[in-house]
Amino acid sequence: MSGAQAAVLGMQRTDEELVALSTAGDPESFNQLVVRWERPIYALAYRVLGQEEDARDICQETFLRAFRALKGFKGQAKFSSWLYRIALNLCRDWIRRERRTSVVTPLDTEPAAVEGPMGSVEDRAIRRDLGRVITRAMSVLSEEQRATIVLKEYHGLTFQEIADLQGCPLSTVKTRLYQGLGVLRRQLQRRGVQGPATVVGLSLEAGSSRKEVVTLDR
Amino acid sequence: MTKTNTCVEKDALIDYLYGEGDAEARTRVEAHLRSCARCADEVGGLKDVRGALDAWVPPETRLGFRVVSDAHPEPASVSFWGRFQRPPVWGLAAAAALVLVAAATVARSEVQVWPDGIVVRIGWSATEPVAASRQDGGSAPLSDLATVEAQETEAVSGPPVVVASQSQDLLRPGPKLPAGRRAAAIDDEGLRNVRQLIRESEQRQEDTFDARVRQVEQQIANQRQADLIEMQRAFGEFEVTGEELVRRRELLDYLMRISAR
Repeated sequence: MSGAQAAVLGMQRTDEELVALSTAGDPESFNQLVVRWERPIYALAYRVLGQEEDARDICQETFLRAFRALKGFKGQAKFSSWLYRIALNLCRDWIRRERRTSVVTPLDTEPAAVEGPMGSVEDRAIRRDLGRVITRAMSVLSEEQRATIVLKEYHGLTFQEIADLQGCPLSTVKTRLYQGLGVLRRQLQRRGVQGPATVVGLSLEAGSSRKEVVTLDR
Repeated sequence: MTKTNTCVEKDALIDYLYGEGDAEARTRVEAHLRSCARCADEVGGLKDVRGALDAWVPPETRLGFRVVSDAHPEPASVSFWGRFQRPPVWGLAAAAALVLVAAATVARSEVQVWPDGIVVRIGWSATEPVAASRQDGGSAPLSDLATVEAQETEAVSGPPVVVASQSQDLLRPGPKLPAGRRAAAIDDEGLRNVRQLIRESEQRQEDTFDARVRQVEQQIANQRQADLIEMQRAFGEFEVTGEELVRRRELLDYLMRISAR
């Protein structure tokens, strides 16, 4: 059964199954992987680069490279981790090519309104302003700190997965997280955001984590 | 080792913050936070930062990438006849050169190189003997210019392509004429040809415009006639409908009178 037929029948194949079908010559299976992962990859690239247009290009290039190298993917890592690695490498190349140390340029982008139960106009305005502040605060972080926080906070990777992706020890990942969060805290305080979670009713329990999308084969 | 603002180790603090440590370590940190305001403040501040990060959402964008075919298809084995279906570049270049040569032959192109320029002439021209005599004789006196002009005028009335090539030929500097006279002769002849061409073009445009105007007038008249017929038919229907209404009203009055009795 091809990927397209499975999609019609409402069957959700795992990433690895779709990869196997794609490798066997079913491009529609790869397109299902694209549909499944394009948003997270775009979000990752956007949060690392801070540029919508470039993030979209990075996203497209990530899938193009993945498709070309699909036969070399032997399943030693999760497909999503493989995609993240390709995307992060492209982001790193982009940053070096552009020679931008402060890559996040908040003036170019308008954070989207957050959808959720708190849908009042006032709440949405507060969250939009907060999004701008965070965008500026993120631009202060180093590339490694920003990527670590993004992978942990928005993509829910484990410390070990981040360490594997970044090719660094586990302790380095925790250090980057701790230092990065500390810098963000000071930046937010400096920009007049005191206890933002209580202001907008956001509160994360210790241990909880937001994810960009629900991954199907975790 | 990274310095922390707390009594708790950085790794243990991060493990607790993200819930990845073991249960024993977590219990230990929680117990410490209940007794240490400084550590509790630090952990609370980091939680606030994590909560605020929720407001950072990428802008909506249109993605929708699709793979439509293999970007690197495996090269299939090519049969003997298949090679002719995908000719090499040098083959295409040779074919293009052949076509050019054949076209030049059919078009009877003529290239002349003069000290002050190159003349390229193509096409079947009725005045070729004139050009040839110019080349061969090369000593056409000025008195022959009238004859040449008459022939040129005759050639102008031919197909446009011939006219164009002949005009090109006229602009070619004559090799044997004195420079001043030659320039004057070229100017006069060229000017006459250009005027003739302009007159013909204007005439054609006027003819086309007149025909178009007549066509539009005819269309308007036809449409007007059709509209009049349609209006007349509609009024007729209205009149019929009016008569019917009057008849029904009379019938209704009659019924009312009957019923009132």
